[in-house]
Amino acid sequence: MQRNLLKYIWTHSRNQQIWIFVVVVVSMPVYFQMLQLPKLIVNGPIQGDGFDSPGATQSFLTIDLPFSETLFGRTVNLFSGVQFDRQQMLIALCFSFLFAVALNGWFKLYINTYKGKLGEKLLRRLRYELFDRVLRYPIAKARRVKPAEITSVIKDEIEPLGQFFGDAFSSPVFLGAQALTGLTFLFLQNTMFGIITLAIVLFQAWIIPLLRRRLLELGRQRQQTARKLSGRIGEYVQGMDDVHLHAMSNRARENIWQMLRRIVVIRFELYQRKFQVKFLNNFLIQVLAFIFYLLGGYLVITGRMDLGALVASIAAYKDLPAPIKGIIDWDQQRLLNQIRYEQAVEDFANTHIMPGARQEASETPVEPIKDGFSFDHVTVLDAAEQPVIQDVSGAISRNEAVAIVGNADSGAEHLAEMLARLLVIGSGRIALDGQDLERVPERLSGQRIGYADSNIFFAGGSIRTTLAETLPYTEGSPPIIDEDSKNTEFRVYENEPIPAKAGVLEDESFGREINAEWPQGDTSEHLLSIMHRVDLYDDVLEYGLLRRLGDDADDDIKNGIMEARRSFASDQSGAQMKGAVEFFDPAKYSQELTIGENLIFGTPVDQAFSPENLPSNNSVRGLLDQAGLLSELFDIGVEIARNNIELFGDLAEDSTLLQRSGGPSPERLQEMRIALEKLDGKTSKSADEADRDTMLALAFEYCEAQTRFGLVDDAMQSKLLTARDSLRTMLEKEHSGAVAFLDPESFNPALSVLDNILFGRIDARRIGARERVLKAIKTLLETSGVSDTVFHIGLSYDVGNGGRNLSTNQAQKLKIVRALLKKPDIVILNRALSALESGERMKIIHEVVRMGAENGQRHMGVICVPLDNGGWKDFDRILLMEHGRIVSEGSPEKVSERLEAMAK
Amino acid sequence: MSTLNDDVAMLRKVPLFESVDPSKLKLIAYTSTQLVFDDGEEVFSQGSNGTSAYLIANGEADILSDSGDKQVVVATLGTNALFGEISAFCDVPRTASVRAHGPLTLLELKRENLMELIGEFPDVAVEVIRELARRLAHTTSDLAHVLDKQNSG
Repeated sequence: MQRNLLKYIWTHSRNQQIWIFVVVVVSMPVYFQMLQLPKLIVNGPIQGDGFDSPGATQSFLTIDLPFSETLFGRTVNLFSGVQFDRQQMLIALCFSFLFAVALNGWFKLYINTYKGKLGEKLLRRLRYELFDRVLRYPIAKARRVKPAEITSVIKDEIEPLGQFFGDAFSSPVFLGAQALTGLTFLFLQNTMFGIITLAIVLFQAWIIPLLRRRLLELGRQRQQTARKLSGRIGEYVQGMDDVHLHAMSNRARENIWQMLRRIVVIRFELYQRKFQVKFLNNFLIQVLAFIFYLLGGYLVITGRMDLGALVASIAAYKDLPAPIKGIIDWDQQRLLNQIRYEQAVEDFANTHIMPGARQEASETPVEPIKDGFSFDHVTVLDAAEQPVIQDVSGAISRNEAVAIVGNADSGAEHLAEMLARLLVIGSGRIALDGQDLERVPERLSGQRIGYADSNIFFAGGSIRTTLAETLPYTEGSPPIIDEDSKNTEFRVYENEPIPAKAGVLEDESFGREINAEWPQGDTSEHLLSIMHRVDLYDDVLEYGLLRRLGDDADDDIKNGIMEARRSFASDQSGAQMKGAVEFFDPAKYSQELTIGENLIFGTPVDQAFSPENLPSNNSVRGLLDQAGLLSELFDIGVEIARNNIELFGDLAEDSTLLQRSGGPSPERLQEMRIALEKLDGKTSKSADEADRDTMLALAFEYCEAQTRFGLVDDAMQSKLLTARDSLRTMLEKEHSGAVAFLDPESFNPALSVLDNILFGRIDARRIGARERVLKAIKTLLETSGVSDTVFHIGLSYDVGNGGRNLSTNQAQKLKIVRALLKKPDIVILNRALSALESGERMKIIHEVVRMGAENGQRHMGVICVPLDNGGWKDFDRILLMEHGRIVSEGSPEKVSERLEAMAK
Repeated sequence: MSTLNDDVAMLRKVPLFESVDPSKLKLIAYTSTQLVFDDGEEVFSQGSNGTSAYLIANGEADILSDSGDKQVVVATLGTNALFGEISAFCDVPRTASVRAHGPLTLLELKRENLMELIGEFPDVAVEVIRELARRLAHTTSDLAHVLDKQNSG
């Protein structure tokens, strides 16, 4: 990787840099004109130079051939111009000025935009290149680096470079030319002054790098400390459990504080140095003026120099400081950015990365593995240079099921990791189908070899995307950047230079997040069978039950769910379920729901109709008032408050009984007490607005089954039912779609699949009712044929950051599903399913081994490093390992004695 | 569905709570949980650890004692009967199994709530002590009676 920033910029944006320079040069005459014209306007038309007589005219837009006087000895006039009188001239010049201003502005706009775009695109390239390298880090290195530090480098550290890219070449060339012109001009005016100026500039060029040395060192330190800071913050966030468990928070504070302090110290010194250098620069340049005045003045007074020459020299000098200062600033930027760049890419460039060919995509489908692995005198060393595998030779065919058996220090799991290339071998050779494993492209190993260990990390996303990302993709792939950056011609000015898509899933129906029917693809069928085998089907099905179907759900699914609802309801008459669920019935008041829920009798879509907003909802209140219910509900509210005070009024505020009973909070109780005192005897009409709202809110959230104050009698129930009907009529007319009503005959998109089937509340008074109901529903789904669909919906379940929404059991099973879904030729199970209880684990592994040999012929090789002693008969061959060596191998019968000895 | 007042009325019929102030009984009722069992469903089994006392709100419950391999019904309790209160007051395993005899509705009184109540209202404690003492006297006289019989027999 290129370590010199300027070279890097030049390599990747040569043409653009030249273009910027050309545009800058072209814009200069316009700029000059913009400065020149005001002088012409004042001198000419305003002061009247050249317009001495009233009728005098001057020519405008005269164009002479440049350098014609030098070349031909006379002015060659190309265009004699237009004759204007004084007023016409004023107007013409002013408009010319306006034109020059606009044109100059446009040039500035163009140049700045162009530079910005160039910077961003080059930055994009650099970031891509760095990430490309991370993807090709050797596995050991990738495990060692701190994620937050890498992120910090790619995201933040190189960010300021973007500002510099556009100015990298045009700025110094342009400023240099300006300075050189100034200097030459000065020399022409007065050689002595020229020499003095040159001397001062050379002195600057010598002293400033000296002063800067410390500055650059500080820049380096600043970057390193900042990177360490982000690494450390990342560590603390990742290990937050430990921070709390071991009360390390203050230690963390101290640690981070020290780092922040250090950064301030560095930055402060950096500022000091920076401004010191600036001060010196400015000072030296102004010293020149001092010398000019003093020396020049002295010479003029003593008559050794004439005044005109001094004035001309000073005039020539005045154009010098700005470009010199610009060059010095640019150089400082260059050095700081060079360091920033060096620091950022250092670690990336020093790491020996995998050859790009190993990850290259290809349009030809990969060939299946024919023979399998062979390894020859392989030795693997651990981080402490101790051998974990010693001089192991052998072969594992793709047509056999092999168990590699050994205890924790036997090297069995290292052997499995080594075959999966998660471990780099120290010496010896491993081959796959005769080809050196090092050279096997990842797309082959990735598609034809499945691997699962006890790791439970998932990057996030839904279960479906988690699965889909491991499946083979069709052609098309982003570039892999070669060591010398050739072959990867992403030109800077294409809009989307990288074909960023790595193709599409071969089985396209699988990856889509859809609510429609279960995809009919091959992958889906295969997934179902695997999910059943590893016993994950039911878990996903449950996730599916708890999800809501979108509005766009397929009618067939809705019908299937409605079918399930009907059969569940009719099944309720069976002895098993009796009374476990209270069904929603629009013609019945439900004791399990609050008064508010009973009124609305549906799921609010518009938040104005949510339970907590209901009491203050004007249209609901108006309707209740009309029915005369508002005052009755107010009375119920008062009654609830009274009951609560009676029950809990005597309890101490911190009473655990109060907290545990699910009664109101002390604050709420206090609120009720105050409201009651204020209300004393008042009716709904005469009460305060606020108190009335409090009481109504109490009434709306009152649930008879929960609180049992016996406040909703039959008469009240029928009134509420009437109100429910008129509310529904009103809502359908005026707020269509605000509430998804509970209708036994139609699917409710605002409810989860489970609630849609259940269409009621599970009786909380029955122990274990929920489990029984769930089980019954699952059976029902199975018989009504929508089970797979609900399972499919469940695949949209979010696995969470790092897979944390999954239990360890589920995550480990999902790892196996991923390993199997791609239909590998060989699957490696390396102490997989460690979180499962032994019996279940052995059952699943047995299933997997058997799955590879259907119809009596083995089509998928299995390499298993088991956790349990037993189930040997499943395997064709057993490798016994001890202390990094294979000590025995053969059929299960052959090594049975040693196996038993080992088990003891 | 029973209301709190129904439950209070029921609690008052239980000797243990007979003389406890009605407002406190209401609190007991409020903190209790209703449970429903179908015929033959087990409420708890002998030897298990439990910390709740139960009051039969509706229905009947069989008290079963393990005898060898099978269980023998030693008693059948009806509405308003309280059981399991021994485990509720002190840490002893259930001395018998209880099973629903027909549909059964129970009021579960949790130990921590009972204890809290006693802690908060000493009056309740006095009533409970009085009742337990009365029971002890009863049991003692029963025992004396049995011993008498044994001696004379």
